[in-house]
Amino acid sequence: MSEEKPTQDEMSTTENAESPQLAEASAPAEPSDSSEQSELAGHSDQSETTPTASGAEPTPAKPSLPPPPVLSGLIGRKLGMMHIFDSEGRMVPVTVLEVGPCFVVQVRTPERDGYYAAQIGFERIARRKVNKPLAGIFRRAGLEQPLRHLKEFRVLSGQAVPGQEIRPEHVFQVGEVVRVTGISKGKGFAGVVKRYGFAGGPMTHGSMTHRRPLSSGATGPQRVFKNKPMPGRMGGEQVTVRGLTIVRIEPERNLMLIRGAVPGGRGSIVYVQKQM
Amino acid sequence: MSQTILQELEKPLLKSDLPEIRPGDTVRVHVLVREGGKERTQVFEGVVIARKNRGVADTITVRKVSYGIGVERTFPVHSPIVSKIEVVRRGKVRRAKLYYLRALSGKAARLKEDMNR
Repeated sequence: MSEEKPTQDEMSTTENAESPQLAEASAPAEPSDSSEQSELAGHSDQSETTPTASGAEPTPAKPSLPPPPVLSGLIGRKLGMMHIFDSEGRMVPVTVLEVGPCFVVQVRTPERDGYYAAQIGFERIARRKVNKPLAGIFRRAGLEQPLRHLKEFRVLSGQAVPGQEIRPEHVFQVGEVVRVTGISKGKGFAGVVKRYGFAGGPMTHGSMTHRRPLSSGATGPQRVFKNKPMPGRMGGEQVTVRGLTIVRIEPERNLMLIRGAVPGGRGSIVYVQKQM
Repeated sequence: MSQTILQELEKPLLKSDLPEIRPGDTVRVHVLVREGGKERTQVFEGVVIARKNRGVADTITVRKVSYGIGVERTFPVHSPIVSKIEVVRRGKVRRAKLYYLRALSGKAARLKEDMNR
């Protein structure tokens, strides 16, 4: 592991230096391809030459951690929406997300778990807030503070080691299309007009059926079909929005600006995933 | 917390050289227009009948009567397309939105000048 380190470090530094420039060139498809290839090449090299790397226990000493891997997604928090202007002067609605810093907590390996993934955590919390089994997991990862939110993401390239810090710029590039998963705002017990977009009845002219569902079906089957739209609880469920473009990444503050709206209210937790 | 971050993100996008614009003011808005690869400035002069205060998304609605036809345009004041806004005249009005001007024409659509501003 220690033998292979320098090469990997070099690779990642060059790649990190290049990627922002490429991203600014606003040609997202090409740079992401090239960087992926180089990273994949680096990863395969490493696995060939040092089979012991995966077997080696995570070393909490910070300088010995390999560069952060590219994961399929990250955990973030929705901060709110605002507008920015693009190069043409058009107003673009964006959602501001605080994505990271996320830390690798556990690694799933093909040998032990049957797949390769990294469990990452987001938002540091006090040590007294976690129970002992969880505290042990964080201790083994070499993390001083436990994290509130945990979630697994697949490792696309690079090597995941517990204790690594992963920031948005390690995983995402400007111009990349992502999908965002969150818990939608709860609307409570909603009627059929709000919940299913029924037209409702006339408000005036003696009408008494303003927002009622009216017929629930034909007399033929003598029953109401399953999944017939009815009033009920609306919102507060997991929603994924696909096809959102990353407009800007601010590495200093772990912020990502994403074009369009994202499920959930301000301050809610979202999962940002690469679109595949 | 999150709101302060949003405000910080907005700050560099806001124009600092804007004059104070209020409803009732007569303004000249200089707009960059791109036609056939060339860029030039177009001026739209009229009365501000509404202002929406939304941070970077601040807009003003400007109304003028052009060849007898009422024309209104809404400008995002912080947009890079709006190169300059001049206040020609300060109007004295008693409401925030002057939509009633749409129903008026000629002499009735005049506004008193506010000499105190």
